[in-house]
Amino acid sequence: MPDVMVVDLVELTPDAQRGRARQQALRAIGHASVHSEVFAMAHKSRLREELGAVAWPGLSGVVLSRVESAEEVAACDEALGRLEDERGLAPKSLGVVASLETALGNHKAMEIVKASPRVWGVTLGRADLEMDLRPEPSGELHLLPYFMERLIIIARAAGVVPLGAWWRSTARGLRAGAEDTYEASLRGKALGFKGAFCVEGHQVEPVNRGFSHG
Amino acid sequence: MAERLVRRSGLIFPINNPRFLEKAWTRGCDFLVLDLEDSVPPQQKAYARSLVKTAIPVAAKGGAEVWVRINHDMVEEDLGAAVWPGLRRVNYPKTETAEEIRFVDSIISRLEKERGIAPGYIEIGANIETALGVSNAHEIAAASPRINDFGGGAGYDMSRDLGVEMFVGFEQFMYGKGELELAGMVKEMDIHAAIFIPDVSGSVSDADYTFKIAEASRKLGFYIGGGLHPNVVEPQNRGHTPTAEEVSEARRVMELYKTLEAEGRAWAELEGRVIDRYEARRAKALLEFAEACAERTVGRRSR
Amino acid sequence: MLSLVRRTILMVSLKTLKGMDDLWKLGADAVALDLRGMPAEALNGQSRKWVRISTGFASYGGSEVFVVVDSKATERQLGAGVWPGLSGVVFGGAETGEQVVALDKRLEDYETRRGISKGSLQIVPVLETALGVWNVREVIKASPRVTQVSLDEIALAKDLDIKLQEGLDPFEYARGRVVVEATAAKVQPLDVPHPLGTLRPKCSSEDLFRLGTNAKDLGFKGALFSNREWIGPFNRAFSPTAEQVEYYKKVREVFAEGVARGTAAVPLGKRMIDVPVDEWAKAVLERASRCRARDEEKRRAMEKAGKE
Repeated sequence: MPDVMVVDLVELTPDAQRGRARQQALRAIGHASVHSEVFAMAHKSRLREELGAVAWPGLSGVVLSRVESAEEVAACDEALGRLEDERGLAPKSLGVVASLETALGNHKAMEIVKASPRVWGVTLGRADLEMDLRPEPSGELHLLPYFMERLIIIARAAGVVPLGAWWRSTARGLRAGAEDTYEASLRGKALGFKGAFCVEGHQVEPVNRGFSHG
Repeated sequence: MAERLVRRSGLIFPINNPRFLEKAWTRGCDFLVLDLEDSVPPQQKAYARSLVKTAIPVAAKGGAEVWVRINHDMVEEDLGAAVWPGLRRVNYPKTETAEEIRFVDSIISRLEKERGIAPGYIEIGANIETALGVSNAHEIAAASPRINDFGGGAGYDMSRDLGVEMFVGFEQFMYGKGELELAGMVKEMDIHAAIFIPDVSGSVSDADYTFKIAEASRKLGFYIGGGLHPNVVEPQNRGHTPTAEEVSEARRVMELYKTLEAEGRAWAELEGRVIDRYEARRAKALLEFAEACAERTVGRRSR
Repeated sequence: MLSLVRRTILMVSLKTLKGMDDLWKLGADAVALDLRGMPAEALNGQSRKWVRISTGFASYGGSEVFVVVDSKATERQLGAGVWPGLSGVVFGGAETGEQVVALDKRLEDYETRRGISKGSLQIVPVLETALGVWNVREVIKASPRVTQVSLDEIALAKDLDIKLQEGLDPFEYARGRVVVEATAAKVQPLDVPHPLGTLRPKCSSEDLFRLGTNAKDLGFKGALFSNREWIGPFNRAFSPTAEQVEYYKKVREVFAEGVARGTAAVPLGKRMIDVPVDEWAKAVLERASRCRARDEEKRRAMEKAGKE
């Protein structure tokens, strides 16, 4: 079982189905919170609808996707505060993981993670896809070691937790098998990440194993 | 940047060498850089300046873009001699501050006005070759709308500034390259990436090595070339141009993605590959560039 | 201050120091006496005495003398350590410009009080944390006393809570950032990269020379370390080699001939020698000559001490 279950409204949800997905979110949170902490991924440009759909008892926090500025974090902070109030959740209980998928987001990383005390973690999310980082002859995704190491330095300097794994070119997100996932987690931990996101159920065990190793 | 720029290959040469100028337009490269800087000895610089105006149309005969590399500390004299109709771009070496770029921009603006060149037409290539330039990367990238591409961070000048030998067999410039590419990506510019493939020879004319680099760059989505020796032109043109196979593959991806969209699906698998909006975006970019390359080649042949 | 030759700074723990004698014969460009973690009594007594003696002893081997203080830079550490003859202070755990500014002012104070030439005391900040690495620019620009900056990869690994292993290098970004920002600010960067600087395996002197050369090829100008076996190989590694000197002499010759013939681009082997390459040759030869001068200075000092 994963430590954290992330209910996704961004990556794997086609635009046309987003409304229905939001409706189902509440039920999903209820189910998942029995055995895991539950986060929800929300896109920074659809805050009101997505946070509104997921901010219910059982939710621990949100992963704020594609965030690019301190102002956006502040807006999220404010929206979460209002929802905590309206829905009887403990004040300041909803945490935020900042997901920096774009060049601008990574450039502004330090100000983003410091923009609110709710921000406890930071990740590159699907930066490799969003920024189109492709395999070099060495097998590494172009610039990914640079972005990962940079994020880990910034996270530690700011006192937040860096999340992620060191994916290489053979395993591309959705298609990563158990071995690839384990290797990526091992390398990620050696680099300084403290845990990782995965998109398929079968990845949970290798991620846990990779991050528990040593 | 509306049109897709095609700059797969380019040659830089000292403008005071008439033999080079005569042959340059026949080399088949996408751009030519008339050099006033490092390949022209100090005592010849004034003379070299006097040659630029008439050299521009000669260099342009084969359809290549004509650029000039000016001297870092001779901005007004060099620009005065170089900014004429037919010039596309000014490369500014050893850029270290945004202020330098703003200064170059202002002189170019004045000269465009005086000499009947469309305002804003002339680009600036902000060449960053020192640690200080890397340190100021973001400010420099934001300093002028004339800057359309960014990158580098490796090479002779950078290695001299850092005080290191080159060709040592491992990546020495990861930080500078990362910082410059990040700055370029933030501004949504084209990137001229310095791919790392270990090279211990330091040869400037190795066609095979050049092709390897160009091909690796193309596969990463980078298409900007350039060099010193005519031997690099053909491998860079070939290496940076999407292949027929890649083009037909990209068309298949676009078709499949259209179907997915119509069916309300976010992704599907095609021959072991994931096809999603990211793949569709890549395919679209490749097709656009392939088309631009085709137009470029036709444009050249028709001259 | 890029003409500075300080390739090897040997850190010495005052807790385990047995005698001054062998310290000065080791041939390090500088020795840094570690005052961190010394108890108050020691700082008021024995350590203070040893620092004062050591600056005198330093002339025996031609080494410079530094003391190492930590980011709290307690009055006791500075009081024990800052004496005439000291080249400066290695500032462990520096993280912000404010800390360096504060240290600068304290040093100015000691210079006045203890008859040390004004402005002569240098600061070598040691970056031990992610925050230090992130803030490197402000740290090194905070004071003109900063001439070198060192990266402590063991401490950084601890700060990031990672377990270092061979075959995986987590610090390319951190290293590159220190090299670029230091070079931009005309400060010399120092480091012993992972895995040597972190896992400290037993190495032959050929291996040490090779690994030191890798550090030089990344842009570092020297290293701060505590293994005595590293001194000789690193002095060599952080200097131009005899082969490089020979090659660049040829480069300068060949280019000068070309210029006399009227050309500014001369082929030599597979390379094209132009103005920038000639300028680089000049820089390498200057560095080689300064390194030789420093080695000669140390040699003469030891010879003289041997006679006394």
